[in-house]
Amino acid sequence: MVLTKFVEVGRVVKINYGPQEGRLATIVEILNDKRVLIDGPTTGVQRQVIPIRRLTLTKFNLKGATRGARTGVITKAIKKSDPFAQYAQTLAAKKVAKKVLRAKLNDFDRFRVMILRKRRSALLSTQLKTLKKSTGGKAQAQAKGGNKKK
Amino acid sequence: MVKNSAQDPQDNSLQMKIRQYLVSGRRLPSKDDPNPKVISMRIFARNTVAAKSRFWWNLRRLNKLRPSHGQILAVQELFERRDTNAKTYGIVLKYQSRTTIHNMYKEFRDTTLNGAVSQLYQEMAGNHRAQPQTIHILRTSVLTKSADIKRGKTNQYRGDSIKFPIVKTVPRASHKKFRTVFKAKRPNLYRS
Repeated sequence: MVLTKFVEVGRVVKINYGPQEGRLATIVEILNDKRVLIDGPTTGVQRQVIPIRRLTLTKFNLKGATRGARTGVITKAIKKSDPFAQYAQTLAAKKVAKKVLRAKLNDFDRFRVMILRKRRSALLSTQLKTLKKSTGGKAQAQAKGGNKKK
Repeated sequence: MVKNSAQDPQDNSLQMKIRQYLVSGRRLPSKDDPNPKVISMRIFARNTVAAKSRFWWNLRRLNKLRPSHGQILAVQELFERRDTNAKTYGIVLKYQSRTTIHNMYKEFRDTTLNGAVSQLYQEMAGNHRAQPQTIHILRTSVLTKSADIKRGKTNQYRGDSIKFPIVKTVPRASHKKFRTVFKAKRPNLYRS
């Protein structure tokens, strides 16, 4: 298995434990094999030392992040090329966003969702019926014939 | 009831609450000696009370000065000038093991000296079963040149282009409330 994600300066990481769980940040400096200095000025993560164990590496890098770069430099680099926006397009990020959205729904929203789901399933069932009609006679006959043989 | 200091660690599980104090004291002025020499010590302690106590402990032994014969002039907390970048700290210490006193030199990478000292205490406790009260920090220094750094394991993490993968990740619940005794699936250790 090829390892493609590295703990390195500029790596975009997601904090997966602690009070800032779920937020993204960039690795600014590596202290040792267990701890790194991260900073996320645009995502609300204060510059801090954090164990690598509390981080999940993403496949994105922040271009222009140098070792020990100050928060201002990091902010400028993010403005130029925003890896956090790229991360938001990934499937994992979208799943989390969906979860967050669903948790925010109020009662009326949930009612609307229910109505929309009913409409969708109604559409699906009419489509299925027409498909069955066009191919169904033959398919059903084949199936019956099969049963008889058995 | 400890007052919070400006550079106290945000997360107590990651760093001990040790602060650095500069305690200054002198012998009580007398007719013969109206302006005694002021002695200052850098002390690592949890609070000012412990710092003063350590100060007198040291002065009794080093300067033959007892609290009843002297006065503390000032207890200032020393703060890290810039805690936003990593530094390599070299610490010379002596500690009392079960049988003898040993000298030691250890290196740590951290952003603040308090953090490095906290790492020191944790390492000494883990490797040598030495409690903080038996450890005496003699000298600390920030090492900037590669030639000054003695330990290979601290030297290898300096540099602009160091990078390494996380080979094994042990998944854990992100919060205490998600912890369960039994899980449906075995853990996937190789998903970074």
